[in-house]
Amino acid sequence: MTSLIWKIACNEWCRLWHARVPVLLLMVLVTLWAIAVLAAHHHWQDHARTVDEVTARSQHDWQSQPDRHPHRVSHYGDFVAKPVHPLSVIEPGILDQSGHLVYLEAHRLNSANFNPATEATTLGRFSLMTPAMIVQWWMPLFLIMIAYATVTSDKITGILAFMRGNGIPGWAIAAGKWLALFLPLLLLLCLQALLTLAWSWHSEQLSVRLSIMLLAQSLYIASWCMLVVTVSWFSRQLHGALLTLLLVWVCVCIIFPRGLANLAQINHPTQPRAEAEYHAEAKLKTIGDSHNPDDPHFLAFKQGILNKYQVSRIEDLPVNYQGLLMQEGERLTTAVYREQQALHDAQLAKQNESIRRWLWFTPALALQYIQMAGSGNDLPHHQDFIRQSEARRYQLIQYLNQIHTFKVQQHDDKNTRLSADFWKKAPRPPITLPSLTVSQPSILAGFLVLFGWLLLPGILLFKVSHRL
Amino acid sequence: MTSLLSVQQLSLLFAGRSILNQLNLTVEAGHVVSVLGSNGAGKSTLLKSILGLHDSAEQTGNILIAGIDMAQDRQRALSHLAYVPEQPAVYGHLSAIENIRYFLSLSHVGEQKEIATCLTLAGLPETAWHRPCSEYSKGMKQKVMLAFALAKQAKLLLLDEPNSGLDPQATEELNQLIVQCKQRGMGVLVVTHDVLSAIGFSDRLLMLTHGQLAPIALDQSTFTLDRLQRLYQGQA
Amino acid sequence: MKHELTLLLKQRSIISLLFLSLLLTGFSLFNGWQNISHIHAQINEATRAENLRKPDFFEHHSHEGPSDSDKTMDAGELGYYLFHNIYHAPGEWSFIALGNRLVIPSVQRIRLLGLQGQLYDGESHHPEYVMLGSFDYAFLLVFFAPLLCIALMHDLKASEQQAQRLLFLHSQVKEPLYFWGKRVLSRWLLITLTFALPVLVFAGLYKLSLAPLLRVLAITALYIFFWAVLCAAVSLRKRALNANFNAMLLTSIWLMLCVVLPNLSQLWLHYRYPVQDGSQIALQHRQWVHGAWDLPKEDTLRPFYALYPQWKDTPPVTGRFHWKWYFAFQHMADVKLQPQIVEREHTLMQRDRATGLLAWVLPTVWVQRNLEEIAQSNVTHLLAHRKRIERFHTALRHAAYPFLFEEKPLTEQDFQHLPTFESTGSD
Repeated sequence: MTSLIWKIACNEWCRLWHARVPVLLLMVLVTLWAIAVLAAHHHWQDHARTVDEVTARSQHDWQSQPDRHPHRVSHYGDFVAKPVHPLSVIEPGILDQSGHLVYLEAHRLNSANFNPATEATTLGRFSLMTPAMIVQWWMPLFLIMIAYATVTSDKITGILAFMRGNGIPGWAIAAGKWLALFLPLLLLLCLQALLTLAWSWHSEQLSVRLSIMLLAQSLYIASWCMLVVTVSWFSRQLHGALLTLLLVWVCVCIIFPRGLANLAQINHPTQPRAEAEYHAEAKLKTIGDSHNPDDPHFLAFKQGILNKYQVSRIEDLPVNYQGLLMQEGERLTTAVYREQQALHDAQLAKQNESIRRWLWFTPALALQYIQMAGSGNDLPHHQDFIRQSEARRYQLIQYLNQIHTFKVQQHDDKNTRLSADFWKKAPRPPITLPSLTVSQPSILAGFLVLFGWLLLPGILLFKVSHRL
Repeated sequence: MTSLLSVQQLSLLFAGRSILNQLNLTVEAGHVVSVLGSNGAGKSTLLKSILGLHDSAEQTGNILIAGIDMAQDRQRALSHLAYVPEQPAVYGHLSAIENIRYFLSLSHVGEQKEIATCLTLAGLPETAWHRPCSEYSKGMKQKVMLAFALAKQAKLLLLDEPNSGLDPQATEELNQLIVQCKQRGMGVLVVTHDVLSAIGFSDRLLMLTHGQLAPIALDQSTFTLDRLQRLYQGQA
Repeated sequence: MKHELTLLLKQRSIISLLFLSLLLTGFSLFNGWQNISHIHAQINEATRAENLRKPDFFEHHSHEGPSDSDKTMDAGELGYYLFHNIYHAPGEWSFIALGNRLVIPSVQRIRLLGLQGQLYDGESHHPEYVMLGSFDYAFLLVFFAPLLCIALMHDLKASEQQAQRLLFLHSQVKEPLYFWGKRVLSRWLLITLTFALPVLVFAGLYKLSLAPLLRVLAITALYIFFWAVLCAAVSLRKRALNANFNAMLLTSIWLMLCVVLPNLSQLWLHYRYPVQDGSQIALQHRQWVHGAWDLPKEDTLRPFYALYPQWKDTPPVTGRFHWKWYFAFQHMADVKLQPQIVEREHTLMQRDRATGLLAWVLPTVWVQRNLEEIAQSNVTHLLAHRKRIERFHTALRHAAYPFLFEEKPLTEQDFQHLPTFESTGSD
């Protein structure tokens, strides 16, 4: 039986080859793909350069600080840039939109700030051409143009009836046609994966990330091939087949993804940054005000410290009370800011949930989720970056406050300058790429949808292939 | 009596090949002329020439419709003519009445005659008038086309293979319709393979061979299959 | 024309396509409107909150005077602790193209500190939403309208040929150009209507002003006309009898105009006019600001007094810290960055101008750009907005300097006379 399917596939190739137009289209697709690689590589280089520059510069600035008061250092702050995985060259995801740089400073929660999307001209509103986009949008489109007639024309010329009449089972014809479409595209996908593998050799978690992307891409293209064969089998006229497939493509690839994201935004709007900051400040005021001598929280705190060191006056403390106050203040503000961040994350999660609920409509978006997760440019990865940098900020600031507490003499606090060696030794753990598990929910949802989309046309095709 | 169609010395070269060669043809009012010919003899080309639709081919000679030179005033010439293609050219999603109304609007002819009357004349059952034409049989579609010709008040009717794909009863009805048209004073030119029908309704029979028309003297009594076969082989 | 329209509108597939388009246009307008009213709500809420907060702020940060009404406040504390709201208010027609409004914060908070450290904050939207892009009228018109044109017009001749009607029709029509022209125009009219009608309804419903409405309608009609002509040219070619070939050819043109060429243009633009990342400015700004702490105060104050000679003879800074000096070095950081900022702005404008030139070649870009112009959501509006912020910041500084340098406290009345963002006016 396999040889039969194989023969049908070979025959189909033969026909596509002789029709010329499919070969031409395939060449155009490969050209587009090359352009996309060029664009994406340029784009990636821009980002990578910025990240390198910022990292190097902020490292240099930090290390070359003179002797300073520790509190000055904690306000001087530290910049961290989001590491960009080489796979971003396939799918830059939210790289442009999320911002890739965070300023870490004492008692401030800054999230990623700078994004190129803000300053883009009108051209920025056209969707970016990336290798991921080629697979996600253009491969199906070209597939449709190449193969919409695959069964319909056999139907019109009577070849299908002839073959069925001579005992070839419908499903074998369907499988052969599907294979003929899928194999060349799979070859292209594998080629892309191989090239990427060679190009980004030695980067972190490469094999697992790349293979998950390749798997998703193959599933996606397989389901499109299935869909094309099915619709082609259903249609009585070439024209009907082409138009139906194009309509499906427009909906799945263009209308639905944007529509879903926009619906989510309407239903669960996010709180603006300014409002969040304002709320955080209001909340902080209710907890305690270290500047106010009568504030109950800080009165209690002071009493606790005095009791701990068994002295009666602040001046008698063996440590710097200002430093202790800073530590306590930082603890409080950080708690509030993290709460605020959690609130924001919850809002985003709500949007995500609303998108996932309707993800069944569009395997294109499902594939995009997986590709973004694979290249480390989706929301969970970004949130992980924010978390890591926030943890780094807290650690760094509290280290500085510790130094303030123990190394700065209380009576001469304001005029003390501490050695720059303290800053050089400060804990500034590098930001690492999280493991893929952070995006597990979206990867799972994506694969589920992709399997569903493979299954649905599969069943339909099996049913319809009994017909003539 | 004026001739409604007069083709004089029509020659046509197509890609260097001579299709029509010094061809002459006239159709008078109240006459039916049938043109026979084997496949590829140039029957469709002749029709296209009469409709003035050859622009790339080299064509010489005159075509007059109701005395109007096609080359000089194609628009006015065409307004006297109704063409019924082999496949009835109705829009499936429109009803018979809507189709006719639309086609009339194309020819810039107002509703000169009640469309209903024409449909009745053409013999389309009234129950079908408002149903979409996609539900019609081929014979019914032909009737719509003929009703359109009547509504347009065309003087000359061109029929391309009117009987192909019709069952005997529909063929008979159509033949009667053609005779009716002739009785109303229209000139009718029929291009057909259906010799038996043609003998029935034609005033003249012509055979198209080698780019020229040759008259055939035929009546049902002298007609034999053998004779016909030889005619088609060009041995008239 | 009437007959052509009825001929079209009797087809169920056409009706459903047009209905779909109508629905999508309605949704796109609704979505844009919803986004804009969300922004309005945010601005209103922030204005309300600020009005409540300001008296509170004075109460909280003021020092006791001889009597209760004589409470005063230190100008330095005012500059450091008081945030001022900045609004990026949408225009009346902003809903038509959201453009960069998705990423520019509609409400921002500015202090008297150095401006460049505060200017580049993005909005905290869902980044995936921003990446996928907004479903606004501009998107639908630019991307979807051509597809509708292609669907309705790629087989003008071929469908008639397939139904073997072509010869008959040609025998009927007197002027083929006129006949096909009518067919194309009727389709153009219908497609344009599915886009224009919802806009008209929206404009009527919300009583929007007329001039932008007319511009939007004109752009819509022109753009769809461009595609109609293109489709007609392809589908009415002499041998245009293969509908499928026409569809593929037109889809390829669509792909080129909507994706490939804009992308290549952007690539070229970024290569031709490289722009320093905003982060570099922020890094540099931090360096200037914090470097000043370690310099002798004279080094900051001398250049500052050169800029503002009127405060030169105010009481000198003698202590370890003085607000005067603090705000002076904050401002000097901005001043030192000025060349970089100007250069950057210049390059961004150059990019924008180049895009404008490209728009004359690429109709898709032309439409997007013109709609963003009407919606005021282009990069030029962003730069204008930043200019406004800068002006406001300057006004604020100038209002605070007398108190700061002459070291006189603010009374409640002085506090209330501080400029607010609206009072600086918009352009």
